[in-house]
Amino acid sequence: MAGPRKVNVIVAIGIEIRRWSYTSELIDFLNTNATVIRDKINQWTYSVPRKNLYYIVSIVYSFDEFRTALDTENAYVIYDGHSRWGQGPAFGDTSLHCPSPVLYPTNPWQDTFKMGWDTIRVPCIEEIFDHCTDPEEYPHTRIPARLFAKKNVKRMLNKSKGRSQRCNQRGYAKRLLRNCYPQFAQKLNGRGVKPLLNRHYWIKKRNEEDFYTLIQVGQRDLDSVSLKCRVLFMNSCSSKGHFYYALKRQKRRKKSKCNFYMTRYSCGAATTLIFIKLLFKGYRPTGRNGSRRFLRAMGVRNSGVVQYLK
Amino acid sequence: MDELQLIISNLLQDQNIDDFEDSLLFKEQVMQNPDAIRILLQLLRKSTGESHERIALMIASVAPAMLPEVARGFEVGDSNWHHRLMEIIWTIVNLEKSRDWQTIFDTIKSPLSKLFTDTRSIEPEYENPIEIEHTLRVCDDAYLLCKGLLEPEFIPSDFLDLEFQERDFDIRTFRSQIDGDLLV
Repeated sequence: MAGPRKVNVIVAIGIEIRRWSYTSELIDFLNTNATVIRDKINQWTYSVPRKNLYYIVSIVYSFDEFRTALDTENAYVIYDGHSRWGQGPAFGDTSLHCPSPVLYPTNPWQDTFKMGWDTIRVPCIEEIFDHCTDPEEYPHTRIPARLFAKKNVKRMLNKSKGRSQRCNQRGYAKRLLRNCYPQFAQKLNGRGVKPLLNRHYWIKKRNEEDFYTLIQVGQRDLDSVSLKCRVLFMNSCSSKGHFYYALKRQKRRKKSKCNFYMTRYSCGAATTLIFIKLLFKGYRPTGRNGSRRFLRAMGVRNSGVVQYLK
Repeated sequence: MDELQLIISNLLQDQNIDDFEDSLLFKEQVMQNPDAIRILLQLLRKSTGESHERIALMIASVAPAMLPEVARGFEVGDSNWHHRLMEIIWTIVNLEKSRDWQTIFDTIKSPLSKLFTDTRSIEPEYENPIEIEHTLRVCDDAYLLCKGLLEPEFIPSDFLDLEFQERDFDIRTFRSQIDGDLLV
């Protein structure tokens, strides 16, 4: 007689979130309901004899472990973390938005798993300055015919094409921040860098001292995996809009069988725990029928409207 | 009605039911019953905590044909109540097997279009902080639901990144398109 079907469940917890209460609630749940694997950190087993299932649950906290998870054959992978405005999953043991360069020579907020659009728009102050990052600006010398970007980015690029770089130019236009708002461009961040000094902005936020710029993201890290996992639940804000299209493309390229759970909006609920609890009850998260109870249970909880996508 | 209330109450209290779709009683008495939806909406408005979640789960288990009845809930309540209903509607829509979202849109566009001028702010009660806090109004929420139904590839954050003035323009344009349809 064949033994139980082994399934790896890998929960990758992102930066900041690992310090939040719902991560400890998840760990408490696993410690109480599953069996801790001796000599292993953050690994548990759980059997569902009625379904002939044997889960090996791991909680991981790093970039490399997330990459490995995505290529773990038939695994159920959950990323529970920030989307970083579409820059990708970020990992690290800090809740400080501007971690010290002594403790973190590489800023974990910037070291994201690249799996998104070619370029995205982010605010200079709220994102770049406040997180002490210095992401590469989108060069915007010539808009490629097949630019892989969201509509709002394409709109920004097209509308600013050929427009004057004057500071008082209304609407979208590419301007140097230091020419128009030197007080922001000259500011040193908490890591001793002036990340806005040579940065352009395309539009100023109305009624706010902030400016949208374009940065490069791409799919460098996604390209390095074959998506051998069976399920990827991107439990981060607006993950469908940020990552689904790149994932879908990679799935097609690699002939992967991975299925996706993606959020439409901001999510701020403990849906990872709901997902795990349903697995432990023996429900399958794959297929139209299998996904139904997962979607329903998570859907009514400020989950950001989770969708099941192939 | 009293009998129906009792059935609903028993179903809600039965902890052996994880998913109401598994219950024959639910399928026969509640799932496609407009009276049951009305009772559930009243219960949802008055409830809090775990019982609120359980009632929401039951409403999210009703048949898509009941969506117009669920959407009648928009006639009352504050902005957060409206947001809650939208979330439940989205959940029902996501589970719809035929993926015929255009038909679903047609059945609920009338109550939704009435919300396009409602500029009250929504403050979702997140259990944890979120990274990007977009200011969301009832009209934005209604627009996003409609656009999501008609254009599944539509990206909500593209719209929420816009200033109110730009959002209002998009909503007005969209409204003028569907108002024409409503008049026919």
